[in-house]
Amino acid sequence: MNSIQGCYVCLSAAGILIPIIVLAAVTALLFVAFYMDRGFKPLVGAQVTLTVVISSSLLSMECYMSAWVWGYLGLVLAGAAVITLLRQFNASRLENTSLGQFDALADLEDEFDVRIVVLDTQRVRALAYRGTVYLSVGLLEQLDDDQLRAVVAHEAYHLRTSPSRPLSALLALTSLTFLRYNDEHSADAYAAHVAGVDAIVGALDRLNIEGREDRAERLRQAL
Amino acid sequence: MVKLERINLQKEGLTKFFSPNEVRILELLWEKGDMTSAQISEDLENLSHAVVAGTLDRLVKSSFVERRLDEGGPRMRYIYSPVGGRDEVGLRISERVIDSLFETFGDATLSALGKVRKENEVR
Repeated sequence: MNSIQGCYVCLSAAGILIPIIVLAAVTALLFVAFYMDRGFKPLVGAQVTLTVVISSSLLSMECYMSAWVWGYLGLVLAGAAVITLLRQFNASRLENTSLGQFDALADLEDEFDVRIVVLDTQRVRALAYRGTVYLSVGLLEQLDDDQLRAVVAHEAYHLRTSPSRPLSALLALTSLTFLRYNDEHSADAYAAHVAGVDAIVGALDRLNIEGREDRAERLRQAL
Repeated sequence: MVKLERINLQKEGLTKFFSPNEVRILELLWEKGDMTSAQISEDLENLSHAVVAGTLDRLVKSSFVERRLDEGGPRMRYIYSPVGGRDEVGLRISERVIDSLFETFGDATLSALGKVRKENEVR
């Protein structure tokens, strides 16, 4: 009861309007950035989290609202800075082992609207990062056309469902949107939808991917 | 380059300087020349393809093996070949080890070399 009364007093105080407006404006901006980045579904997840964050701070603040607002903003900005730096670091490491793009993969690039860069290693590597699908020579060697198409579809799914900008990546992290929409099973399901179950299961098998039996089983159950 | 900290004089033959898997791949390449990773895996039946792949990457990085990209087939692939034969590898490793010995012991290393040389000439 006390905290609710405290909150009421707080809201009716004149000075409180400014932090509320700031918080609302920043939140709205984040939503717009996120929406433009990744479509509607992740937006819902982010919205739910932010609503919980805002309402829980309102309930617990008892007049310390400005501190909460600035604290939250600080967290968002610091997190975005850290994510930006990490991405820069990862990207430069990937570029160091890259052989570049190849004409032989241009059709797949067009079909899935991604950039495909080949990695200079015999090890099996497939990853999606900042609008680019990275595939190793070791992986390309082993797959037939259908299996390769399934792998690119799988990675393209990750690209489409993972937020590319640091701010939206942070929002996705805090709202657990990654877990809900961007897991391996959903990517497998999309690959199966595009290239067929046999192709994606065959690729997992051929490449000896850890947990392939479980993933194949879940695909077959989903059918 | 062979990493000096990996040299183990208690082991046999080339495994003093390379891992057993590296030796098997090197010897295969010396014997057969150009090979793809699939052919290497096929010849080394009890090694998984993942192990072969990792070992090949290491051998390329230490430049005892080189690879070129073959885009002629239905899918791009690497063709591996050894950088020099057994003698050349022996020369590279010897130089590296002797350099390191000389750096530490100076002229003593040269005297030892002279002694070893004399003994082998007598034989």
